[in-house]
Amino acid sequence: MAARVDEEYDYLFKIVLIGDSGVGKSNLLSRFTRNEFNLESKSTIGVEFATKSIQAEGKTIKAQIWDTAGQERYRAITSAYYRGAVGALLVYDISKHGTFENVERWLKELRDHAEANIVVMLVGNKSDLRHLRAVETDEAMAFSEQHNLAFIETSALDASGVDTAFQRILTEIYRLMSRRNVAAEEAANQPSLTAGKTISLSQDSNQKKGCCASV
Amino acid sequence: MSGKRLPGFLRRTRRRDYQDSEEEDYFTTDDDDESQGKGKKNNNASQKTNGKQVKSSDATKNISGSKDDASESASSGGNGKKTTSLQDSDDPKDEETRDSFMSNGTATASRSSSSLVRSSSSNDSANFTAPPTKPAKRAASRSSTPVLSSSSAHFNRPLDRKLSYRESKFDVIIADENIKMSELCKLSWNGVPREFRGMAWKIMLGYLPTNASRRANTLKRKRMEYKDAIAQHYDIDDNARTLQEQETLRQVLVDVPRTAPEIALFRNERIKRILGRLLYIWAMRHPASSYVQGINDLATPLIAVFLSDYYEGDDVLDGNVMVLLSEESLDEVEADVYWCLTNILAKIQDHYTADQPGVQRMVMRLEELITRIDGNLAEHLMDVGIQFIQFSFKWMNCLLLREFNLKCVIRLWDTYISEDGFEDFHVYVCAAFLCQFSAQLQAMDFEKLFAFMQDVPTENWGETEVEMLLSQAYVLSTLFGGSDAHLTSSSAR
Repeated sequence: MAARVDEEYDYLFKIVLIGDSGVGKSNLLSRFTRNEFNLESKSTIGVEFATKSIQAEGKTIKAQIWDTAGQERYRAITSAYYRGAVGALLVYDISKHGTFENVERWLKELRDHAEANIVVMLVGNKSDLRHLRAVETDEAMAFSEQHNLAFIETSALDASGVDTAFQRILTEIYRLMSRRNVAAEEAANQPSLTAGKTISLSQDSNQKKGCCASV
Repeated sequence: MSGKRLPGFLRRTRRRDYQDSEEEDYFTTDDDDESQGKGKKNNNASQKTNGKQVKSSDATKNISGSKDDASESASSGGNGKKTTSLQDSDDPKDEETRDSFMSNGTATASRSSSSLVRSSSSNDSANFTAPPTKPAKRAASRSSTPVLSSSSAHFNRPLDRKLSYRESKFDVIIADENIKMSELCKLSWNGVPREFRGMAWKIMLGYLPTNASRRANTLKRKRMEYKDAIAQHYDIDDNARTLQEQETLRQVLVDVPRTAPEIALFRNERIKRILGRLLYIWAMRHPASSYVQGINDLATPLIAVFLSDYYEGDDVLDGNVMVLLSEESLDEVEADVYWCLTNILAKIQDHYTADQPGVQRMVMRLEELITRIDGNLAEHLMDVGIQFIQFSFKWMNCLLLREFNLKCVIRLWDTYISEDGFEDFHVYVCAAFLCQFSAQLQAMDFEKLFAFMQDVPTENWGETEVEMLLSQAYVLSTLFGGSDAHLTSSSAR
């Protein structure tokens, strides 16, 4: 993938990574975009960013992924980063129940600052820490169904689930968007969506379950 | 490993001899003498242990950070037998074990072995010669820093050489009964030699009084005060903490292992312990901001610099300093770091309060400044759609600590600490930093630019590059500083 010419893509989607600090957002990003993992990474200050292109249903989708600091204090400054985001990975740490409890707060954060129809996927990271598991898969799945979120467990450390998570959310965004565009009888191929532009998605949130409900 | 040079322990003893006698100048009461002497003498104990450690196969690599030191210690190996083997481990894991061991209060063998040697070195001290009146003149061939007046244990590097011009200037200024702050700041702006840095920083930050006779008591009082704060805020049951406090503690403990993890020193468990504790206590005592990510970074230069005063090796960053550092000495370092960090943060209070107005203000100033001094760059940044806050927020929030290696940061801080309000100057430094890469940046699109800014290539930077940067920043500050007329001038380029 790395050899791909970055400029050639059919769609550009902005995704944000959110969740408590220390749940592994930055490592999810580096695992997905560079296939790197750093056990000793520093906390993210402000915002970081990386891109990667994937194929979905015959289209090249370029993901522009924004990684924000998890600490409460930064919310005021990071709220601007939700602008134009069409997807969010809401990450918690399966070995720290508190980070799962805060998921509701993050959902509120999204309601306050992000587009109403943003696609949200709940991500239970650090699934490699089996012996330390504090959030059961069933519990998280029930929660995600209740809130109409897609759900997956990942491990940035051993890479399991990471590509799938991004692939699913990007495909989901693409489907919602093309469905909406067809409905509006607009041309689906708008190759130059630039960063910051709002991409309206279907309001039909029930559809979100269909894609990623299974673990 | 042959002792061609003067055996290390002899040289050290000689210097200690001098330092002890210095100490008597300043610590007049028995009480002071007792408490302040501890750290130093423990270090003395440590050195002797060092001799024994050298026998382990990889000691040359792991101990003291310098081959010379190790080989010197080897010749003093006999002394090492005085202490037990508890401190012999240079395996960090063993050390961690010892830490937890000691913190449980189940084993104090390490302490008692120290005190064993302490008493023996006290005997030595009976032979000490009378204190010199003017240290600099007395010992021209070695370091003559009377830094002992500031902290109890200062192991400056053995200097079998003449002091450089800069060093001798510091030597004179710092030896003064009443240090002239303006002179010290002026001199420090251009960098502080390692031997004087801890002392100079503590004085410039207002932690130590300029008056030498007041230092011992101030230190004692401040360190006691900090100890009380630990008891009040840290050594309490988790159930006694409010939810907010628990959250703060959680956040601090999440960040401690992520603080300068690339540096061996900060992977040390004892360093992590003091870092977590002092950050949490600072947060408790400053509820308006509480702990904000990035403050942890700001503690790292202080820890490194203050630890250096307890270490003979060249470089504390390799972590070897911790092998032999006594708990008492570490307690002192922790208290000193806490107070100095407090004083630094007091200068930038609104950087970490709600919405971080101080940081936002600095970002705005940087943007203004770049518009004036490098219009093409400012225009390009705007064209590609990158906002200043997106890349320079981190520069302000962490005072460029994420952009440079710690050695560069320490040099940068010599200047910052000597500046009255470094916030203004920091913006000029950031401007000079950004402009250095102007041509490169102007050839980049949004993504490349953003990626570049996330990881500005400074890994090969050293003091020279930092000093260049500082002088550029200084020029900018004289050209554009304090003159609002410039702000509106579009012909700044």
